[in-house]
Amino acid sequence: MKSKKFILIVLIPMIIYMCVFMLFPIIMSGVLSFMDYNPLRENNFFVGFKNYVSLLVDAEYTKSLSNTLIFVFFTLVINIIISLGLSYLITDLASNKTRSFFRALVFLPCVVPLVASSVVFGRSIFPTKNGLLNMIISSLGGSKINWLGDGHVLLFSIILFTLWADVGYNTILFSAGMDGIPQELYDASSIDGAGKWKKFTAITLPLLTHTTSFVVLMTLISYFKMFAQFNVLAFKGGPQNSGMVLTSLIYKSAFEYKKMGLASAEAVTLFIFIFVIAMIQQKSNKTNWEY
Amino acid sequence: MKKVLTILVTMMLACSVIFANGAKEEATINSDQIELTFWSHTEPIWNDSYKAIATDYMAENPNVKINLQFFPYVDFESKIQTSLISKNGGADIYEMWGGWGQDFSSNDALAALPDSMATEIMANDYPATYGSLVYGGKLYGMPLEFNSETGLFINLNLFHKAGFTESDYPTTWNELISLGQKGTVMKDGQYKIEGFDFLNGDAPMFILLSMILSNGGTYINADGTVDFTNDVAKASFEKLAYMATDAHICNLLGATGGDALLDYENLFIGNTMMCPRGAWVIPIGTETYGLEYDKDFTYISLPWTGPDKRVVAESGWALSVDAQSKHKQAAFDFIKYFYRDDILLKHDIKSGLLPPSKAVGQSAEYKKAVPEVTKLVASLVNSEYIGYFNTDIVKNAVIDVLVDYVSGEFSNVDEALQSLTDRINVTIK
Repeated sequence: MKSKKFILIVLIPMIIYMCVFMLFPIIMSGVLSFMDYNPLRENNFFVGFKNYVSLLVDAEYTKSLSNTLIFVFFTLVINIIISLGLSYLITDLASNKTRSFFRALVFLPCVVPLVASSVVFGRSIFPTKNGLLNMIISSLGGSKINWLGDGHVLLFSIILFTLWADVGYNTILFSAGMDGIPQELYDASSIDGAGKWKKFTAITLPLLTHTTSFVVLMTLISYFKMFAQFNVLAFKGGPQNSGMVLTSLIYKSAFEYKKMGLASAEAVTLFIFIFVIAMIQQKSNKTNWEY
Repeated sequence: MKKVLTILVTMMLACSVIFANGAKEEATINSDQIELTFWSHTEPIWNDSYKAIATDYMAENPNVKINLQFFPYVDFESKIQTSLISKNGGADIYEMWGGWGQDFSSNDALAALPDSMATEIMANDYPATYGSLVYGGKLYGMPLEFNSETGLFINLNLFHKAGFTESDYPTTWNELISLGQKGTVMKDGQYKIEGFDFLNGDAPMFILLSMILSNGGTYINADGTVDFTNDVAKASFEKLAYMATDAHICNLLGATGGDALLDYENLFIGNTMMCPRGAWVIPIGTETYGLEYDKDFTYISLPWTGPDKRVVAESGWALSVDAQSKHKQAAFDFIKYFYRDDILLKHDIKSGLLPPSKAVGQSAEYKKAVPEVTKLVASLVNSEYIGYFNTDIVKNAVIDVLVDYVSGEFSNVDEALQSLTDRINVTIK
């Protein structure tokens, strides 16, 4: 009984923190989404589902939603493929020092704040006239690409940047997962005559299910919430709103149009998307084994 | 023992909280020292001017301390809004953009200026400078500038290199386009030098609206909403679209974010021959880029966009007071000090702003200090208040629709202009 009390007392600050900074904002966001709400106004009005209905016919919202889904899907898939491949290559290295060096190298971009690296990319790597990428393309005889000003290219540029900035984090997680796979399994498969590819597909991948499940879920949630690079690289949402995602639309509705109720409705739909996808993903990845 | 310890710790915590608050209150009451927090966006030349004025004011008023805080422009509006929402923080005095002032004043988040100050400002200043700061007959800010982007910057090195002299300065809109075409240099299908880059964040809206008025049209309905579906608006928009594409005077990078540099930055480093901007860019050229006025670049009036010689102006930067400020009177006193002709003159000269006050703008001192903008100031008399709407939203809408139209996103100009009208009207209260 005493230990239960102790646990409760120890947990109280965290429970208060979660209620004030997590639960309360989520509930308030839900409440505000049913209101025509301007926090600077004395009187605010209950409007029922009006904000949600307006989202259904709002072209900007539809565009943002489709951009979000495209961005999350492609960035996630490419990220997983690259980080899995990189971590396999790094884990396969014989020397500990070399492994540590490459792990540190791929993790380096993750240390830089996204806003800062976005500005660097926006000001010196992506610009059409004197950007580093176009200089390289020009020197190879190609024609310059309008990375940030062309509606057909913008989202691709942001995906490229996000992968550069984020792939190291998952590489480290996968590496840790691979390090945990018992060496005996690989030794046994070698005796059976399995090659590297067979070992990867028959041992590494299946035994990384726990790690993969965790990595996919965390990356998925993080990509749905991405904001910094869109705010910096997609100038006012980009041409034809090609760089507008749900997070930037929420910001625009709240701070440019001062429509907090509408912004809350957009935020609630984003929350539901993340929640549902996370639930489906969790269900489909349930495993009952261990090694 | 445990209970005693618990009670002691609790009492200590409670006492520290109580005395900490008490000490703060006492310091405020006893010292008679007032601290005013002043928020502005980051613009080094302007910020230096604020610092100098605040230092002078504090020397004259030793009981007042002005705490200046500067924030990047991109986050400034949301920062102001968040602080006003909290009603317990932020600043006492905000550097406020006219369009934002509309949103905040209509919700009592800002304090109305005292009637005497409001009357003085409304009598002395150009109507466009305070139009967006008026709500319910009250004035919610002291204008710092006459915001007009109707001046033309010319890179003289490129201008001369293209074979032009001072006598070639454009006097009509067609001359301007023709000069832009002749000044444009292409290389491998790309713009090496843009002859006339008008696609910045501000100019397309100013040019479009001024062109509509100058050609006998209108864009505002009686109820304050906008309408761009009339013939004059259509012709003006098509001219703008022609300038953006078929005239071959600039690329679309400035409007789409594809370039790392702004139009005037490109002008100062020799990538652009001409661009339309406000006089506030002059000190950036001379101080930040170390260029010489009238040798490396010059600034002249933009030609009228039509026979009626009409030009729109919006309410630009102003100083407003937080309605929840505990030091409202002290904040108003500082604003009143700032509004003195000599102080405003000093600030506008240093910052390259056109004075909001007719008297200051026409004064011999101002003309002597910045002779290059004298002609521009004279043309302000013809300016008209743009309309009671958030101009940031209108600027974005004009650029977005223009880019979409020239990119073939609309099947015809009527569809584009209907979209422009709808996009703006949905935001007008």
